Amino acid sequence: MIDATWPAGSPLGYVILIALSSYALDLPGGVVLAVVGTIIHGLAAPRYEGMSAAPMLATYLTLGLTGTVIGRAARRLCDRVDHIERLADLSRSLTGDLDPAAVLRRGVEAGVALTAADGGCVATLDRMRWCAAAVFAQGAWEPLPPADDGGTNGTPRDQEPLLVAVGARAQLAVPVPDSECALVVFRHDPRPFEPSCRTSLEHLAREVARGLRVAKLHGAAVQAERDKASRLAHVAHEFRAPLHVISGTVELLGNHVDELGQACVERLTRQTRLLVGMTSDLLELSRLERAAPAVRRERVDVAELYEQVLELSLPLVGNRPLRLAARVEPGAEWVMTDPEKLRHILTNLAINAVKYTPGGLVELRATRRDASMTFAVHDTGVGIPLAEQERIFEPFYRGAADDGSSASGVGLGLALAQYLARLLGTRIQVDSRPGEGATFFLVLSENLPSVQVASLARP
Amino acid sequence: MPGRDLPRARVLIVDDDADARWMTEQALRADYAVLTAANGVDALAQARRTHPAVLVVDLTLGRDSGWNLIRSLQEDAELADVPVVVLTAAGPTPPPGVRPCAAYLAKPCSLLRLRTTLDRLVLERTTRAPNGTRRQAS
Repeated sequence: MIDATWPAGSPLGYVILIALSSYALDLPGGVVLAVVGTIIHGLAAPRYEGMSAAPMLATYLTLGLTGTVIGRAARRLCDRVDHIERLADLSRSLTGDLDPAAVLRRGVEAGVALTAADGGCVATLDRMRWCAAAVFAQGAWEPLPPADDGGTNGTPRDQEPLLVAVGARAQLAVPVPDSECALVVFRHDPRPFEPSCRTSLEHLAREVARGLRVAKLHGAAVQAERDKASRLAHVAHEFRAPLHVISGTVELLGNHVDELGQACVERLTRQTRLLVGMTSDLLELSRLERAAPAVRRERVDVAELYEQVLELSLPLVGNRPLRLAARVEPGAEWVMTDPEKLRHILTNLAINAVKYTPGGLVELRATRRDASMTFAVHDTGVGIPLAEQERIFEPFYRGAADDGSSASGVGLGLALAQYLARLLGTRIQVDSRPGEGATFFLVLSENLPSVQVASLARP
Repeated sequence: MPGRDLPRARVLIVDDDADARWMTEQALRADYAVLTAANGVDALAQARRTHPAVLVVDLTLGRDSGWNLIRSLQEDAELADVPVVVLTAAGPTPPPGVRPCAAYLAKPCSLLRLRTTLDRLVLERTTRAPNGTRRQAS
């Protein structure tokens, strides 16, 4: 056994000491430390039970070098773990983007970071020539002018113009599976890329391919949604011409029928208007999904507006003991806003109130507090459970009618109203309890600018 | 109503749907001399021949577009100032080269609203003479 009075305490302690030193100082430093430590210990320490200096020095040198190797191995292992963690983090970031071009760009950025390259690019094969539109270097993307000439081997390594254009003297390219792209990283000095760089870049290329598949699926889903909205709009549009003839003919008929005929005409008119409302909502949804419309700002007469809204809602009352009223308080006679959008919002709210109020009152109210106008549509209807109060503004969501059945309509009225309210820079709020009616509020601040909303799907 | 004080103004209804033409004619014939056309070519010919006070044009005329008719009317020196009411289920934005029309009504549109719009346009045309004097609608 080694003398316990030695600084390391034991051979194991000595190995650990050297290993830690080697881990900290890397291989050459660790070797030097082992040799120096051995000499010092060998000269300074007392002889161990007759063992001469030479075997003792050899023993300690062996132990020191063993510690160096262990320290070096530990160091490399830790580096590898760090690298894998970094690779995993970068890989995760690749699947978070739904734009294929962005996924490829992120792949290159990650590749540059992992391989300690000076830059990188996404190379695409065009008529047997590798091309790149932009190059990533010094943390930013710069457009790359098209190469004048090039080889025809179809690999970035052989494609001089591209590599010359990006100033590469050492390069590494890995194709992205299931695509016509390759991730390219390069260095401005001729130092070649280590094999581990290729492994990392290949892993990234596989992750990029996965990200591209996700982006492609997302793109297909978005397109399918657009196609569906477009088809719905087409159908709704085609309904309008016959609806025009039906509603006009019913209007004509009303002048030439007896009492029973009048009752029939009233019902036909009511149902036609419902149908017209549904087709209008479908068309409006499609229009808004394509592009956010411009917002006008005009002086709007509130009493006149309420009159129009009530006129549109009244035919839906039918024989129910339901009274429709409007109350405009002093000071709230007019407002500066987009008249068409406000009329659409209030009409949808009023029709919704009429639909869910079997009897009692539906009242439109307008009040002003300084520069804020509050429009309220109050009803004494079935009310809305708390859990449904957010969902009622979702497109195609339909609440239950008072008899528990699903109410008529396509479920777009409130969604469109809320979307239009956001275009006016506000949002509709609801105050309701089941069985106690509901009040929908719209507060318009005339000092607030209106906002543009890109998509109905993004509330 | 314009028909009470003045000779009945001529209104040309242009719609490719026979039912729609019939319905509009029935709704207006008490107050107007109603002419109908099913396509742009016939409408332009009738307009040149009869000089209507106002045209009601549906934008969908079979394979043709009502905008083509409106453009032809605007390019015709004698018909350029005839007001056109656009009755449409599509968007009312005129294509390039077509000036805005007198009125746009979205289908489905109530006959009362159509009549009110026509009354206003005919009245404006009747009272708006180039030399400031009153003139009669065609």
